[in-house]
Amino acid sequence: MREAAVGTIARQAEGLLKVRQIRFHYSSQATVRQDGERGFEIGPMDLAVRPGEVLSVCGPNGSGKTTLLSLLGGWRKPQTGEVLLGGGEASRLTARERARRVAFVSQESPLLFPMTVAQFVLLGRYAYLGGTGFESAADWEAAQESLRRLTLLELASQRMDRISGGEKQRAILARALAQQPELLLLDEPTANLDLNFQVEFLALVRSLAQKEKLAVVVVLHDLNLAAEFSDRVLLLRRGKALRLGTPEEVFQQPLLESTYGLRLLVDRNPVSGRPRISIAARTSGSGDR
Amino acid sequence: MTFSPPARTRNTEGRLTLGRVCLTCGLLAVALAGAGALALHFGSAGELWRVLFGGSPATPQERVILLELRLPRVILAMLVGAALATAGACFQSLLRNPLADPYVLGISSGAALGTILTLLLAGGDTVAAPLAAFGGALAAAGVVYALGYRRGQFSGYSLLLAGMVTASFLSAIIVFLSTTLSGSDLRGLAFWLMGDLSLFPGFPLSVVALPILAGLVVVYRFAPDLNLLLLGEDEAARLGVNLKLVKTVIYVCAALLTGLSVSVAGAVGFLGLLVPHLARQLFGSDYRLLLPAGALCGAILLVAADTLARTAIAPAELPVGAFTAMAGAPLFVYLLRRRTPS
Amino acid sequence: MQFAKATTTGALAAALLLAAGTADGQVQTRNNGSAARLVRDGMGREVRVPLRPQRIVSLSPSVTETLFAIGAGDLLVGRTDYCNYPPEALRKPSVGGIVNPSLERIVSLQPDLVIASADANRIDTERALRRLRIPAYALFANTLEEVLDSIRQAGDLTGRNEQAAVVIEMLQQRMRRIERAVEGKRRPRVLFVLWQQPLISVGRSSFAGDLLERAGAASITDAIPEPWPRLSLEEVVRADPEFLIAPQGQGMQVTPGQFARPGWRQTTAARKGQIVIVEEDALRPSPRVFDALETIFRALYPEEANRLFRKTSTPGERAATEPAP
Repeated sequence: MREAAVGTIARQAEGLLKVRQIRFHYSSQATVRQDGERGFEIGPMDLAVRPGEVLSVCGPNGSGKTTLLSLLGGWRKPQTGEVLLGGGEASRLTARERARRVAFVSQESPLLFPMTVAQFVLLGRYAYLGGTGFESAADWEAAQESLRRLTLLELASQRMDRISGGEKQRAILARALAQQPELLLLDEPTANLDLNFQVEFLALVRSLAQKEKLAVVVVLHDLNLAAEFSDRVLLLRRGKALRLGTPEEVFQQPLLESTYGLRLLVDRNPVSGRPRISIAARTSGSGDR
Repeated sequence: MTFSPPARTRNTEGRLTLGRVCLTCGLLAVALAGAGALALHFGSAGELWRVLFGGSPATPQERVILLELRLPRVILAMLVGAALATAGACFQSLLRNPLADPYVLGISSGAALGTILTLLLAGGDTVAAPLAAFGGALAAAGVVYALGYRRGQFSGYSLLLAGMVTASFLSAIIVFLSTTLSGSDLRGLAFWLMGDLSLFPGFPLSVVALPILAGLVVVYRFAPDLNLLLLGEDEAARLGVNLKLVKTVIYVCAALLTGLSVSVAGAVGFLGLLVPHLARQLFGSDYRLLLPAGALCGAILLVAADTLARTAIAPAELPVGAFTAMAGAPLFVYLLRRRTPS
Repeated sequence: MQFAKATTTGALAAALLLAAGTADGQVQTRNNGSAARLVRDGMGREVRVPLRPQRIVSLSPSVTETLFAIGAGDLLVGRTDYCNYPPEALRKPSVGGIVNPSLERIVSLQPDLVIASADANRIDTERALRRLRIPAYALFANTLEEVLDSIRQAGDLTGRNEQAAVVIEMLQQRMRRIERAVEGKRRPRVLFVLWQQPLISVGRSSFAGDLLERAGAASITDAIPEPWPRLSLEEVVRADPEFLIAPQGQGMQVTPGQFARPGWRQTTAARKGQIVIVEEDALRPSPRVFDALETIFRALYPEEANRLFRKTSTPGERAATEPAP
């Protein structure tokens, strides 16, 4: 177990998550990406995410979005540069310390044995368990609070395999919240949900980010959702950061067309005022959505 | 903070407290004591109820039977039952497979092979046997892990296949080796391979008892981690589990528990499958309750099975593994079929 | 809290174990006052046996038979489920199987000596008895000569030396005259079919192998050192035995059509109907094996047998042509 070289947890004015000049590539030759190409390098990249801010990471499949998340959370270490979480290097944290600072949400995987929603969410308190291995009153409170925020209290004693997909995602988010993290990372959390659940979920994430002062980084493949719910967007292609900025700055027609290899139309959503991206012409080509 | 739970459920449902664990285990411990008393009472030399509880003095023979024959055997059955049940629960979490069990996975065979090798090389009945059994179990577990691990996770079926292949291979080696044994050793082997508590080792019980108890305690310390491992290694790590440490410790402990049990009782089968399954139905799948309750249930079950083995066709004795296999194999098939649609 | 639980469990367990470990096995009185002596048993192990044992438990049918043959049957207090000869043995209480006898039953019978058979009983049983401080003596016989010696040992153990000597003398006579009768004669080719499917026979180093040799047979497996070799039917056809010997008893039955099957029926033995059935129980390393010796001899050398057995008709002899009950 490595001891962390973490200093005081001081939230800096410029941002909780600070990424400086990172470069990362898979060291093993055996790693072949989905599109059949050998591993490419991620970076160089600079980034800062503030508490309360939602940053979307978008880009074609295989751009390294998921790898980027694991770098941000400190599960992987970049070959050069550093990822700083509250001033300390993210990769130097022990698993327990990291679980108290960073929470990860992805799609649900089937559970081996049945458990209730309450038990599921309570698992998020693992990193806080004391010597006895049992949850303290404070742990229980935190889990209950988490359930409340995600309006899961009525479902608390339902079994996880008996609730809907949207409710399951909420439960996963609740468990992440129960960790009381400073940084929340989400990897395509809405991929299998109905549209209304997708919207509901991301709205929830955004409001939580603001209320709990969480720094949030979410990988989304749906550009419109990213436009609606993010403060900033990072556009990635084959590991390179093409642009970082507000949705208006990033979702621009020429950039998107060259990134995705597709004719697109970018205008303004009349209701929200955010950019709206539509397909302009049918092509048979690369660049999935 | 206020909330209003639905009328029919309590808000603490699903919350496991230390108190509940202690209460459940206390009750089970009482049941275990009862089973132990019954086991001491029954035997091929007759019932000893009056000696145990009637307060009448024991004849010298009865004393020998009770203290030197029945009592050690009952203690051994308790230890082995608890150890195998716990090892099974460990493998089920480690390998994310409810069908994992030291016998099914061939780990018991590895331990058996280790024991047989010491029998051949060192004349058996020495302290080397449990050590070699531990080594054999570790090696077999390693092989199964390596074979069943695909792209970062354990595919359910490939794991079971890996286990069966390992078990078959090791059994073949055992059969081969047994042809080199002389006649009388061979006779006992068939019995022992099935799981047999009737003859205990030449070394004092504490040689296996203390490590088994230590193993049980250590595993219990990692109960919360085992809960999280069920979610998958990645998720467990993200929630704060130190994967390397937990996996190593649990592997070693589960192999230790299996190895020691096999070295004294042979390859008792399916306990690691039967007991955790039963315990989950009764107590839920939270390892903080499942482990101690499962261990106690395993102890009770093996004591009962062994009592049956000793008395069913008395004075002849059956191998206790015959009973566990008769109950366990159908259960295995049932569980396997239930999983198929998923 | 976990540590408290652990230490309590540990303390309880330790207490129980200590109790178990220090239990005094010496409370058992098996010594009726007479002294004991140190002997080496059939496997070369040192055993301390009583000078005049009064309560003997036999762990093997061959031992039981031997004891009764030398007139020590009254000393027997326990036998196995398989000890079925002589009929008087059935009246004694049983201690279970040969491989898995009940230690409890043995202990409750308060024996001062347990006699086992090294090729039938497990060494673990003997070890366990030793740990309970019950003398365990193992007899071992892999040839007919060794059977005679184990009868002598049994006589020595039980103080029935004279009776044992008488029995040995009689058996030796029977063995020698067969030896003389077959000397110089052509030995018929024989296959001992221990098990037909899979085909298992007996090799030179087995007990039955010695029996065949003494009965004047030329076993087609003579060159094979293993005690119980598996043969292929081809080898049988190639070797063409003149006689087939098959044991019969509880464990195995010989059916009429058994050797009429392809492969078998080509053999001289099957064609001439020369199939010798031997009582399975008579193949134990006990006095009755000499009956089996005679059975085989009669089948292989009918003329010599007629001459031999017409001459002698001592009452004490048993000429066994029928299977014993």
